[in-house]
Amino acid sequence: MIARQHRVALAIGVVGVFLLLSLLFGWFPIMWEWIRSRNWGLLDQQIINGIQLGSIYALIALGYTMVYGVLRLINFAHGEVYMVGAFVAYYVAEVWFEKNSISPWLLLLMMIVGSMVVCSALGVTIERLAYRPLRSAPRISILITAIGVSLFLQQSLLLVFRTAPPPSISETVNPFRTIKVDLPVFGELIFSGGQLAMFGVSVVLMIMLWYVVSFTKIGRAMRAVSHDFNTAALMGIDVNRVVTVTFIIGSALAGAAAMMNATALGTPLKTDYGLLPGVKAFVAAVLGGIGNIPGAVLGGFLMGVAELLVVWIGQDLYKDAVAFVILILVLMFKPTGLLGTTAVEKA
Amino acid sequence: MSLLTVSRATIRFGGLVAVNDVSFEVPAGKLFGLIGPNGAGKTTCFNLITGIYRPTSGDIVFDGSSIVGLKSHQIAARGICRTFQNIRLFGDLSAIENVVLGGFLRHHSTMVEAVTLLPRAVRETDGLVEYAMHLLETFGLADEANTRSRDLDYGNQRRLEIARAMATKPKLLLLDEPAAGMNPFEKIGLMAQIRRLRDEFGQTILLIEHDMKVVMGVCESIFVLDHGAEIAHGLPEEIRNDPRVIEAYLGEPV
Amino acid sequence: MNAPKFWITRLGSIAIVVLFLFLLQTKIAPALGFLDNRLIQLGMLYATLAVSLNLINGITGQFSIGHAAFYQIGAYSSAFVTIHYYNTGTIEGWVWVLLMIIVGAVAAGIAGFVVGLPSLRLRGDYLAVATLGFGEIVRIIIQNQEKLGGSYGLTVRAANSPEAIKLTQIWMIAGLAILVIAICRNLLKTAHGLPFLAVREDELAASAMGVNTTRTKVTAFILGAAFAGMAGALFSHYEGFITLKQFDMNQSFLIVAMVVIGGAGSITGAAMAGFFLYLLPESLRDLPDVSGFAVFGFVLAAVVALTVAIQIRKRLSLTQAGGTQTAFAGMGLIGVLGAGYLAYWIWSVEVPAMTQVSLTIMCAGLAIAMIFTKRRIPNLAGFGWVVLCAGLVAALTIPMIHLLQSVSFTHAILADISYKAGNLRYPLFAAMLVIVMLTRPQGMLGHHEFSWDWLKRIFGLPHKRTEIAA
Repeated sequence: MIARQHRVALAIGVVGVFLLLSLLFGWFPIMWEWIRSRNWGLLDQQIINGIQLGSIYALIALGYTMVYGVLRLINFAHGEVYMVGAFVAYYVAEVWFEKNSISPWLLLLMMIVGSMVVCSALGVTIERLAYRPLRSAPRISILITAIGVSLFLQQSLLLVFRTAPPPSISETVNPFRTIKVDLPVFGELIFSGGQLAMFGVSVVLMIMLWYVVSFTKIGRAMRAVSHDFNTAALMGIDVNRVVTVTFIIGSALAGAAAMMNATALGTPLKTDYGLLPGVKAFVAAVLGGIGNIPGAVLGGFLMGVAELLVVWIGQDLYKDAVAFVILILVLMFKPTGLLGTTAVEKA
Repeated sequence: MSLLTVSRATIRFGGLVAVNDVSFEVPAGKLFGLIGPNGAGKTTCFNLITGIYRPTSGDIVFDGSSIVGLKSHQIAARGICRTFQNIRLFGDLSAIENVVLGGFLRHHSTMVEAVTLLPRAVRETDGLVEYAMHLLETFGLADEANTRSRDLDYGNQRRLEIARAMATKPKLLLLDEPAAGMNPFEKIGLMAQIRRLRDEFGQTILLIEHDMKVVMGVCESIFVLDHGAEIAHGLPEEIRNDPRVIEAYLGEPV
Repeated sequence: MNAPKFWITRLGSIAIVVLFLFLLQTKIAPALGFLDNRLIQLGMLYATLAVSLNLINGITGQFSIGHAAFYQIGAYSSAFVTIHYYNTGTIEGWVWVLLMIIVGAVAAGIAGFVVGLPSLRLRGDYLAVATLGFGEIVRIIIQNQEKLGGSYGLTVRAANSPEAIKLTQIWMIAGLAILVIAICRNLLKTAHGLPFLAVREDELAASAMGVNTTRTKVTAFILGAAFAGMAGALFSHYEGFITLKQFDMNQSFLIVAMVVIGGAGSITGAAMAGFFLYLLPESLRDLPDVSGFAVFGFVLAAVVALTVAIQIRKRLSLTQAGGTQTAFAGMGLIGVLGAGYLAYWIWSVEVPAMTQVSLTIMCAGLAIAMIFTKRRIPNLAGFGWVVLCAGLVAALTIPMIHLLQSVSFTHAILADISYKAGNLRYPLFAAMLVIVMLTRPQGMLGHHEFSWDWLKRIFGLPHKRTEIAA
């Protein structure tokens, strides 16, 4: 008689071999046919596009992750800050492009700076008015407040920006949008000049952020506060200043991302413009490990690639759903995210 | 025959061995004390018994069957109930609601009966409230029955936790530092109440306590832990004079 | 309790409900206009939704913010069954709707079970985000199903006719609302409700007391979702045409806001908040357009008032000096006059009776609150502060409007801007949510249930001590 565990192993082996064989002879041809029928020529292009889109998600995700790191708050209003950034870029272009024939470089620079400044101001205002009074309240109240602020911005700005049809930033504003750049090194990959510029600017901003967080005094204070809010306060760190700076940086990054995305794609701007990018960037932050800055960048890139892979497979109707599927999978199986160490709230 | 038998229980958290090869028996109807310096692994022992942690090795037998691997609520249903070192009452519920919840285990009506307010559910609820009131009277909390438990003072919260645990009618009651934070007068009252539980309800109690006066005053048998391992067990007088215990508490003998 | 008395009260209350539903269907509803009927019915559906979410959010403490998904599943699943299996003339319409309620409840209950599973591992804001994600996934999946109408919407019709059918009657909606409220209330009235509350308060302690926390949480999700699914089934057969927009993320947030504002954990709070928070903003639709001066004058007044009130609160730092009392009384007087004027004005313009009645009730409530608040200052400074803000806003709005009109720059911008009053309801709603959170995070009723004694206690009138709750 064979021992019990041996019998179990034998059974698993038999079933396994059977499954493997059926996979090879049954599913393999189907899979192979599917794989062959894909347009492989487009895959590398889509991945590159995904990385470029991901750089935008990463910039927004940094705002979520920094705020969460410091305050343990999911800043639902961050997507609306992003939306406001896009509108600011549009109005800057509107005002200056019609009246003055200034160089497009200067105009784009003004747009991005304008977005970043207005978004920072908005972020700080939101924190000051809505989050700071609730700092010692239960976390759920702050979450509800964040939802309320998000709804409020979305709905009240709907009254202010109510032009029909919705405005979009025209191609003439951004001449780099139409310039095609061929990268011979990688074969036949084609970009618009705008895409390359976006990616470049995003990377530069991320490096600047990395420098600030790693090597400056305020960056060290931020790390201390995100490690332990109360102890940091007791050690003489001005936590209010740290929180303000966190909101300034995070919102400015969102503003830059909004300006670049709105300019490069020319999407019609409505007040729910920030809803989906905001949620996707939040998922990116969770995927990378919320509270973790490199994690947000990694998560952003993965998010962008995943989204365009869904498009590449041919299910572009589901490209918005992939974010939520990733979110639920991450939360279920690895709530700390890929690089995160912050444990999910325990009892 | 012993009610609870812990045999060779060990639990590791990573490299740390919190409880190392501990064995003891709690006989039915006794007041059994578990003592030891800070970090000795006493509360971890409680968490092993109540199913919050699962022992890495060893066995815990309660009332004739092993309870290793059962969930907390299943162990509570077998008849082990506990209090917590840092009080964990249901803060927004009133004192009596806390106690009624303790009795919920012995409830037979179904949820359908409850939402349709059929007589059995109503009658059972009335019965639970009555019993809970009786327990509150036993612990001198009858006047506070409708106070939110969060608003009770510290000593009353400790007593309410014991009342809540008693409401499950446990075969074994685990008390985790019941006297912590009480003043000397309250401690005397608490000792009397613990003795009364044993005499009136015939309750078997396993007690963790720092205060030697309380432990020596109520316990009939004492088990001493240090660094997760047993260093002594026996009657209070033996423990009081045991050199290893004195060393564990006071450091090297002079 | 003796048996005869028990059965008399039980059967008596059921008889009263049936009588009420009968009168509602045959006497009250026909007496009201179409629009008023619609407002009342949708208001009751929202009350049902809010109470069902309250079971998950408030009572069991599992923060779920994707409730519209369950509503949606109930609406679409029942509509789908109707479209494929219902033939007009074969079965009475009202019997069919009652069957569809069961379909909606089962479909949504299954979804609730699926969403309940993450709640076993996730807590707090992570759970909130997971439920939000689930809601969006449901919406996107339905959007991509051609059989369910996709993004165009779905006409609820019988299998043998292309016309939309509207089978739901007012007594079903009212009956469902009463049923859901009664179930939740009975649950909390017996010891069966305590495990749910215990899970909200402290999961570890609950399981140590023998509560099966897993089963409790999943039960709450299934029940809450099934109730929402029932409401969804009634909704689709009421409207005759459903689209995705009726179930989007904002809808979920709306329901959460109702629960939160009403007071998470309070059944009556959720029901009232669901009914009135739907009704009041919705009745704004019938008001005439609001000029840009009025809107921005109000906003400006609110900003100034908030700044001033914050400064006052800081200076007084919650001490009860006599001056504070007088200040609050003065502000309260201004507020009462403002509320009285608003109530007077609403009866002088051409709007449906429902709007007039509801806005008058609101004004009266405001006025009563303002009159009585000064008695409460010692123990509820936050509430008094709200009244102070309201009074300041009421006092400052008119001067601010004049200011905006007299400055040529703002006059030029705002002169030809006017807003439909109905479009102001979402901003108002969101602002209200934030303000409630900032001033009274536990919501209007907190964990309490509404009772006259509670109201008396709030206003500092003589009251009985609360009796045993369990």
